[in-house]
Amino acid sequence: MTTPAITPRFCPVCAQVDDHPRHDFWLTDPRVAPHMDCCASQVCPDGSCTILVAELKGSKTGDEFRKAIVGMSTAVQKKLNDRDADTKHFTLADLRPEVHGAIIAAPTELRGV
Amino acid sequence: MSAFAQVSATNVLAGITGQAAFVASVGPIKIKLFPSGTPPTEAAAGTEITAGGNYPAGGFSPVTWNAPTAVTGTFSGRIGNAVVTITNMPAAASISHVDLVDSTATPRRLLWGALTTARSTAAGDTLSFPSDSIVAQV
Repeated sequence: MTTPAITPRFCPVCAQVDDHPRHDFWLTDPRVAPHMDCCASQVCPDGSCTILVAELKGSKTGDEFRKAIVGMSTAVQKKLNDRDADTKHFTLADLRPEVHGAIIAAPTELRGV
Repeated sequence: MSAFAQVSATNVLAGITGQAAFVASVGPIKIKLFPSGTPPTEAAAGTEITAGGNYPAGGFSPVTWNAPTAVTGTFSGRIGNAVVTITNMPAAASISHVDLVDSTATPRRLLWGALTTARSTAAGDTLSFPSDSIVAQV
């Protein structure tokens, strides 16, 4: 797999700057996003990182972990889909700055007629 | 500027003035993501990011919504999204706009807008829109 150039991002949990797979939250600083394993270690707010790390990471890091995610099996995909019932409620207020970086923007408003 | 798509706005106006039956959306509602170079407008759909991973051509679904609430001031009603999480995103540079469409055979455009924080994703990343991070007001 050819990996395109990826802009390195800061992980607020482990303080590393690299291009490893991230859980990116809209309205937070786009330069800041936690590694998936760091997000899982701090209780990922929607549970997706918990599943991806448990099912796919093992000892993989960086591009190897990314390849595992991109090529995930239907069984792992089903676990991600099945988690939804419990994970539809977190809000911006639930995002902890020490895990996901500071919120830097207001919600996107799609104004009316 | 962000707003109802023209087809959606005229549907609402015609419906509430009794000129035509309001055409309800067919679920699930999908969210389409757009790079800064080819955004949607009131009248045109733009060109969404290239599909890949768990982001399909035509947009990711379902996008569900919290209950609408009454507000006072410039607008009279407000609604926000429930959490949307897209795992295994494709590589996409400078995502800056969204377009919400329904699931009819030829999807109808509903709402569109510029996002307040453009960002790029790498293949395999997870992208989440927290609850109430996309808000529509009328």
